[in-house]
Amino acid sequence: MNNILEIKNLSKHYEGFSLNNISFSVPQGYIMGFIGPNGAGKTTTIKLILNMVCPDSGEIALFGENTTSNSSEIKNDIGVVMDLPFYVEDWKVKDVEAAVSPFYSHWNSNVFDNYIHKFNIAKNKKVKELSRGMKVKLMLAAALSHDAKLLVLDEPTSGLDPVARDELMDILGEFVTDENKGILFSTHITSDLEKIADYITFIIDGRIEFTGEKDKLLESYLLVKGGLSDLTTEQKKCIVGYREHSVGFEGMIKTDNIKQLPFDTAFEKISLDEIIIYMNKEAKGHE
Amino acid sequence: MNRTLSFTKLDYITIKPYLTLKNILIFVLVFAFIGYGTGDSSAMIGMLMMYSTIYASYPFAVGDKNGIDTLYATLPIAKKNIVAGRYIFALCLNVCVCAISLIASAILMTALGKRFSWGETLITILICFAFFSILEALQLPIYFKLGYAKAKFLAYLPLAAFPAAVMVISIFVGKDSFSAFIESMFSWIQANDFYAAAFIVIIWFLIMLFSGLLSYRFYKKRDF
Amino acid sequence: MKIIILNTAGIPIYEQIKEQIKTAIYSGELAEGEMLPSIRQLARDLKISVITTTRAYNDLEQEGFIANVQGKGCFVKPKNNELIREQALRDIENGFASAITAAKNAQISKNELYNIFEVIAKEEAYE
Repeated sequence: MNNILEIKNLSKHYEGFSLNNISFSVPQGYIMGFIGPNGAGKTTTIKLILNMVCPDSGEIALFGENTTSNSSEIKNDIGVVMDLPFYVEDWKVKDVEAAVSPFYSHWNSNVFDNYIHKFNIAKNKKVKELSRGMKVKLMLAAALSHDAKLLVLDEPTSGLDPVARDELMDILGEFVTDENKGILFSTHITSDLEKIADYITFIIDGRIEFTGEKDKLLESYLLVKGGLSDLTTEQKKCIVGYREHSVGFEGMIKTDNIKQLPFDTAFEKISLDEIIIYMNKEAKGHE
Repeated sequence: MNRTLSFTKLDYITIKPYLTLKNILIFVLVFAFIGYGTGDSSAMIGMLMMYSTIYASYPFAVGDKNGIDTLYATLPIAKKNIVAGRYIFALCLNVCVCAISLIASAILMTALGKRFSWGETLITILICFAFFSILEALQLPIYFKLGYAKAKFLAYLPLAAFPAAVMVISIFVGKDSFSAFIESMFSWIQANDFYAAAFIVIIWFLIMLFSGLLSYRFYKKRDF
Repeated sequence: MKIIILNTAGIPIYEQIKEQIKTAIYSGELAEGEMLPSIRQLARDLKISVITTTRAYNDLEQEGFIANVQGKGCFVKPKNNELIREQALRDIENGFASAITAAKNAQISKNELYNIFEVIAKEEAYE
């Protein structure tokens, strides 16, 4: 299986925040969910991939080619969608097309028109007059109209209502029916990824906590709940993000560690959201 | 070259929403007023070229406000083509304004019933062009390095500094000897017009080239 | 063919897909030689990940229910009664093992377990 995107030992240091030795890959034909709390380093990683920012060390390879040789041709095969539109706010749809189409080798005007029509984007409105959902769909229409193989989305669903989110996820599902394409989807709204993502990379405080199959991640942790006096201090150490309240405790535990806890402790399957929450609690708890 | 010109066109599309009929009408009135007021086309030409310089910074201003550097990052275009495209945009703008100045001067002088010489006006225009494009050569690297918001003040310094410098020099040296110096420079240019022209063109090219390379170095290193 | 995924069932999605396809094959609803939706198309239709449908189809292929023809798709294999019997025996053994473990943990006697079996068999009309 080929990797559309490969990141190896990427590092970038800012004052107050560092991305440390990040490595992960997006295999061809799959959706990689890139999750983590706000400020974890998702956007910084994406900026590094797009060459908006220079890495301090590490390598990025797109479609097998190392990008540090700065080849911009590769952007022909990448479609980008962000949470905020990067178009001039006074542009209309035709201005957007006139602005970007000359740069792409495979721009297809018909495909673009079809998406504009399908998304119901008003052609006579300026970008600033479009609703948030429409702005995202406009970027998506452009991203899908030049035969891109990799879609990179940075928090596209934040601020979207459930209907718009569902429509977006539908289009992404359509995109990967072609096994030569791939998606890197960065978000802090993990419910979008819960069912559709194939792989998950989980980043927190600038380092990768997990990267691999989503099912494996969900199977490797469990939610655990019990009474206040149920656990010994030793046992409490197994619990990630341990939280006590007046009528009990809750936390997350690695599935392998269940046997260390009392027989009648309550366990539950965990969601991606909860994994982030408890990991974050654990990380903050050590500060 | 293709990508560079596409970028120049992109710059035009970027500022197009702000080239409204209303704006253009205002300019026409302002410059006609200046022309009539001074009774001469030189001030009008100078002002026109200065506005051209201001408009040359619009892609930076509009771009910054709209996060357009992100758009550039998504497009298959190398940073060197972005810089080259922006320079070509600025120069094209200047050339267009030169043509407009020429025609405007012709109209103004004819309307005022004064003598109009295509040759002399053209030379005035070309000198303004050289001067203001060199001013832009000073400004553009500052914009590329800092982005419009941070660079705004700094970039306007050369523009403001020039009239200030002229005033200071003329006071220092004495008004008469300063005008005499300018006049002798003009007559030297007229006498040795070929060499003067060649000299100015070569210096101009070198300044543009150096400015472009500096801009590229700044832009390449920038984190967005 | 119909496949319905229930999120709250507690059963992994790939298991649900496997079971429903097997049921369809057993009942004849899916005929021998019939082509199944492609892995990617199924993922798209059910709005789940491609890895999940791949896992379901791979398991079904290993268990002998379907065949993956390169370039064409997945087809229902002729009913191999031997394999079906083997798989059914495996399912039964696992089911019994789980029931016995639960009974032991709750200290339910063997006789009680037999009774439960009779009751359920009657409910399911299993003679």
